Amino acid sequence: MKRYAWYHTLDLGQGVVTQGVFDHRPALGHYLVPTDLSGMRCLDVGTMDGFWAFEMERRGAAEVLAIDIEDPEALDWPRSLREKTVKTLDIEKGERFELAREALGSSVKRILRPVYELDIDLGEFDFVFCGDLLAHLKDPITAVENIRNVCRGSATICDPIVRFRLGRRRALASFDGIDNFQWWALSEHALVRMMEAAGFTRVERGKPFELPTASRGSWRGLRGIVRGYV
Amino acid sequence: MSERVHDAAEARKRIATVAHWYHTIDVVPGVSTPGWYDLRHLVDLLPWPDVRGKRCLDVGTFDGFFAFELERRGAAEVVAIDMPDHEQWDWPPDKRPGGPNAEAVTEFAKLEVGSGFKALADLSGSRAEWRALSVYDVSPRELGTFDVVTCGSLLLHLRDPVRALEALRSVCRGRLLSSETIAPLLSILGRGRPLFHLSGTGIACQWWLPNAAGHRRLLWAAGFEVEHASKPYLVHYNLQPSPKPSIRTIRDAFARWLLTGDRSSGMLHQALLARPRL
Repeated sequence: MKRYAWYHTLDLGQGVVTQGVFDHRPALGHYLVPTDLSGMRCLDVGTMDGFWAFEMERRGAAEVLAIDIEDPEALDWPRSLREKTVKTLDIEKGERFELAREALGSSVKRILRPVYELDIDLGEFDFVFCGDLLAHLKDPITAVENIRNVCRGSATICDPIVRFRLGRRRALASFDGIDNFQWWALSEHALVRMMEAAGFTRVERGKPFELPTASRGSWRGLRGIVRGYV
Repeated sequence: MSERVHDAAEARKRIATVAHWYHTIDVVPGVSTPGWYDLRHLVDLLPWPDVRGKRCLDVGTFDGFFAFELERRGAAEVVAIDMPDHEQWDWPPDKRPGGPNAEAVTEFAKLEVGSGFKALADLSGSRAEWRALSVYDVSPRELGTFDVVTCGSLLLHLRDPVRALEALRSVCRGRLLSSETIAPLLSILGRGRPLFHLSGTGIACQWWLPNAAGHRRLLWAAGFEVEHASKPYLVHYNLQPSPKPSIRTIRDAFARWLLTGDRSSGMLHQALLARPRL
């Protein structure tokens, strides 16, 4: 357990809690994830250590699939970062997920699949969750579309957002692609717009909340949360 | 390759065979194509690289304004690519073939993208080669490499402009001239911060509309380094009707005038001349 640098803080039982970069537990109420997922087929997109996959299982999901990619080189790295980034967090995520899965006695299935290639060969899902992934994608629009495509119920997407003074209710984005492993930083309305463009007929907005990294620091980690209904 | 046509009546006759013109282009003295947009005034505002004797690519050429200008400036070879099938554009899912709103965009089929280019190439005796190819599919294997690549008013129509520019980077061994639509107010208020409007709705097939800094950053992220930037300018509406006045259009018109000193109606653009940095 200690050998790994964890991405998610996971309570594995018997007093064992991993020291993750992100601890979602105090913020659970902010996420538009149904408390009861009984009988539902669920998908976690970009699962990393599996926090949301295990959480959906805990909430009664009949089946949970979790997709991720194993090869850190396959991520959408900005050219300037590809070489110099230490990728331990990404290299070891499969091992961490498996360790947690065993400890929890979970039957979540982890499948290696980029979100860009998410398709209905995996079947359709009653509920899809995708957290903190879009900011790392060059083409988040295709990702959201693919999520819509496999969704037969609803999908919740959570991502860092920016509040622009230029127009709070406008679909704006700032763009990095150089210094940070971040491409499009969306406003809350841009996140909604992306869901609408992908074909969700109704989009519900949660209250934005802050979720900094566990080591704190200056990044406040403002998150936007939207749930789209097919 | 055909002989250049000098007869005005013949030129008019051939222009009339094309259903829709996008670019306004002078064909023979006193005769020009009735395009939606008029770029003639801005040719000299662009930071052109030296194209004499060079192999050039024009991306999203439509009626070929940039392609024929490259040729006029002495390019040795010009390849022009475009997407004649509107069903293959980057539509959101509801407007794709079979989607619930596919009907809303069937009008674009009437454009017959490529017919204007071919008519003009015939009229002017051009040797420019037109090919149906998506910018996403541009690669050295497909097209070889180029000394000069031009791309005009295309990026805002793409879901993934970075991938498109990376594709152009892969074939560019010299310079990229990117003349792109930019957002007026965001360019003023953003003060150097790369910002974008996200559209994704409507029938204009628009996704990310950059401000001036956003356009520059896209090029950088795709591996280009900007050498020269033009002043912002307007691509004038010719036959394309101006948008209906509203608070937003009046505000944008004011911002355009601030940036360009041009009171005409049109789309705000800026041109960047860039070279590969990676």
